[in-house]
Amino acid sequence: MDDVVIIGIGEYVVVNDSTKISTVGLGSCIGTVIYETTNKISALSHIMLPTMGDKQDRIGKYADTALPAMIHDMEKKGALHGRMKAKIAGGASLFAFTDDHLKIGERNTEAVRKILSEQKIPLVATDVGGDRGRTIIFNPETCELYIKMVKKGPTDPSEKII
Amino acid sequence: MQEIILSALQKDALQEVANIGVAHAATALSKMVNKEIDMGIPHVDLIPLEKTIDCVKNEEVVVAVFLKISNELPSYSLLLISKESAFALSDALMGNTPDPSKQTLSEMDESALKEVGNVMMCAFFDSLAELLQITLIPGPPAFAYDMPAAVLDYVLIQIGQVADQVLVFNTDVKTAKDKDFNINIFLVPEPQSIQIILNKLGMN
Repeated sequence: MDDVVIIGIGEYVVVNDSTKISTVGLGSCIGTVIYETTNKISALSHIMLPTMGDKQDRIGKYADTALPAMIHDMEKKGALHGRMKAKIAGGASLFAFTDDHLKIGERNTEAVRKILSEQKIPLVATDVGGDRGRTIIFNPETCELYIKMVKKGPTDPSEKII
Repeated sequence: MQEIILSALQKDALQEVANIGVAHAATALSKMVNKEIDMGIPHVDLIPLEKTIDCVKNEEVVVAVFLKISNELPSYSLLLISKESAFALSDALMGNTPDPSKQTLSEMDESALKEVGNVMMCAFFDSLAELLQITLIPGPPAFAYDMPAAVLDYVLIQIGQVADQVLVFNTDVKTAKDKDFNINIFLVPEPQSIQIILNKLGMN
């Protein structure tokens, strides 16, 4: 069994070897993988909310603070910004609520897209939205993002690779 | 960010409050399924946000019934039921003979389980409201069938906006004899609500 680093909600990790990086049970949260193959540096964040705003808090929780910090850490390890690529998964709505502010999954997805575009990092693959949670594992060797979901109906796929 | 600090005495008091609530929820369940119900000892734990995943049982998939409490004591409650328990519970409620070949939950099952959650948590919150002399109005129940971590993350997102730790009341209720189903009850108060409970108990 290969090494896998699993991160929790509001955390991020940067690896510079072939260690797989994973996070379990993304609901409305977003898992963002950024990788740079030339120097073989990969990173994964598990954000909960779009923006930190005025408060002082842990940077890993918010898209607007976690992603820039993670990119910066990648650069410190020698990654070239211009060669970075991104894949994202998550942003689902598991509970069928009607009130608007609960569409947190969509707001998270928009926030992550916006930051990646500001950072000029191409978003090469996405698997977002829907009503199912996702467990994701990124393999730096193949740059594949493996996604596992709960099969609810007979036609639902229970896994995919993007 | 608020940091929540609880003394051992305060934790005991909160545990006792949870105990009373769970006893009422278990009684309500017992009446619904006409079976004797056992309840576990409620755990009250202050857990860092990123570690909360450790307290959901290691199931691949769970049924979750979610209720939000607003008014005087903003809180989130979540009933987590394993897939096998969900089938057994639904059969017990509707008087169906268990069908071992059953693989998916029907709309009827879903609606029955949602109602169990609603009745149990309303019993829980009624007893809490009486004890603390406050008004608690639970919102409508919401249903999900998914990974435990994914259903929990919605609650964590709400708490995560104001705090880095989550106070989790966690216990389980199960049928006394045949242990055919088991329900995990999570109650996660917003940080301000913890203070309100402690104030009402004269424990601040």
